[in-house]
Amino acid sequence: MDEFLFALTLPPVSRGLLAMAVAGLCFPASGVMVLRLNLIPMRYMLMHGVILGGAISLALSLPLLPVSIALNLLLVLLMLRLTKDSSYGFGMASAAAMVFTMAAASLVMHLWDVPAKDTLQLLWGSPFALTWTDIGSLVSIALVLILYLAVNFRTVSAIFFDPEIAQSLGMPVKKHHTMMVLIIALVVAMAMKLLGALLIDALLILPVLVAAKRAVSLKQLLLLSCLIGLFVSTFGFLLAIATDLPPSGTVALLSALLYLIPTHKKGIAS
Amino acid sequence: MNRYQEPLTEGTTLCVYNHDELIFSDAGRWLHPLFSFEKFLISYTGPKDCLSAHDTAAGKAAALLMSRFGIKRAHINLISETAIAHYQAHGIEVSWEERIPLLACKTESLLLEMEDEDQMYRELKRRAKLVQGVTVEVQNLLFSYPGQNPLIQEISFSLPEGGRLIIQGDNGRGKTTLLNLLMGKLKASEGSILIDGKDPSQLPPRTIGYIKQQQTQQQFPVSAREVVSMAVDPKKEKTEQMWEVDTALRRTGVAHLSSRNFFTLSGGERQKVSLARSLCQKARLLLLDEPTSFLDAKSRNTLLEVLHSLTLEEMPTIIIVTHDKDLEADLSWPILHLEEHHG
Repeated sequence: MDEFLFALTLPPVSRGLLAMAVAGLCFPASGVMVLRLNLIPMRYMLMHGVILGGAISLALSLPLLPVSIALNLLLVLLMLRLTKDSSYGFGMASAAAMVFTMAAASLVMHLWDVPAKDTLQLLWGSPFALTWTDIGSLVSIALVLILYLAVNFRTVSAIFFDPEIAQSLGMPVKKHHTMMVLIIALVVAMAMKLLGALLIDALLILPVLVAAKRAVSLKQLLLLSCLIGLFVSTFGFLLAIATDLPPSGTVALLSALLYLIPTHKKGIAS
Repeated sequence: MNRYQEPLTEGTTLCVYNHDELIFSDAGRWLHPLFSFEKFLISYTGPKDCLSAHDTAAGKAAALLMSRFGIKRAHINLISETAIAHYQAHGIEVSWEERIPLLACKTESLLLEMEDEDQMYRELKRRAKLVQGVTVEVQNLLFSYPGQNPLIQEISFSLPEGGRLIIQGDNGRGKTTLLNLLMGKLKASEGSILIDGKDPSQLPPRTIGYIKQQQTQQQFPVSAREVVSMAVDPKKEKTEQMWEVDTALRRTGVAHLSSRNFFTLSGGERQKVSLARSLCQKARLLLLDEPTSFLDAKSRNTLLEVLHSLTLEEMPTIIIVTHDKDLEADLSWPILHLEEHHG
């Protein structure tokens, strides 16, 4: 017990806990966007974008987070441009961009002699390696996400309900779609640093799926997703410290276990 | 002499009492005081078990409105024979000071030959400019998707404010495409569409309310209240927004479902929530795409009731596209058939 409490006083651990709490509380809100706007393929593409960002930052000795964020935003804008001028949807464009980013990452690693092992570290995340600057970025992204939803809740709920109806209500659907996609790009880049590519869904998607079993309204879905996210991220992180297990795996396992718990018939997924 | 039969005060044209207690008075002209009384009744919560009116003049139109608004006794300074007949036919106790065969006004002549009370009421509201709807003018409309034969060919129709139309045709005849053209989502290849005298793309936001064909496969938590709330004018005060949502939910009889997930409701309930959304939107043109699809008999009847009440109260212009051939008999609205050569 003493060792556990002592561990919590260590700066990397306390910073990690803070980051997990903020991310857990806010990032599932972007998971609602991903699921409702059917952006799962784009999320995969963004994860690959972070791998490319990692390769570039290692090759050029640049800080990982700003490079990944910039690259993800660039990729998303490129995809929006591509889907605007062609009949291909986001899914097809995401698949193409995913292949492109991995190919580019592979070339960067080869040309600059970047050890693949170092780049692929990103697959696992590292909440203990966060600086105060990283945490500042995390809090900023979380604030952007929450403020965006709070200010535009009516429009967002209409777009989630039916973009055609939102359009008929005179809402700027395209503008908000772009905004949401950009916010998701920021969140994915940040979440990758915390939990890694493989387990990002534990923070973004699984809390939403668990909440969707019980929620009957969008407000409830957002609130429950965020509370569940906060629980799995902080409790999972503390459990990982107590048991000396990797935080990302522990958080992901906890999310998955919550999802498996049967629910009474109330929400949509029951 | 009862109090409602006492002379009107200077300048007053209509007084309404409940028993002997004055609850409403107005100094307007023509039928406006009666329409103001109708509006007053919406928020009036006092007793109205014996509504008695004193009006300066009443023809068939005033008699019709008074009977609709629940007036039990009427005293009229100048009354027409047609009004007396209407009062008596509706069991209203009527007295007067001067009786003439007909009032010398256009409204009296207009209603003379009309029998359907709903139709007369709609006409009066239209003349009083109390209609939410817009005019729709479609002239020689032709539309084809690139490289394909025309899907819509030579369609013309015209609707007045608050008009109603059923567009009927089998699947693949371009019914939904026609709705998309009316909404300005597609551009006509030839011909013109004018809504309220403007091209659909130039209309102010929120003019057109769209109720889609029901989708049964959706799975997403969104409450009925959230669906209705999304259509409220965001510029209004929060309390006013809430009042509008509550009123719309009550009007369509789904207030008890407000906290339920929209996608777990039955087809009929969902249609009623969608109509409540359009009420909140205060849509001036309501477009309904196959509104009776997936509805059981009970839900279908409720939907028809709500549509009927909409055509008498808010009176938006309503266009329904459907392949449901029974709708013609159920609603008795004008019909436009999309024929095979349009496909």
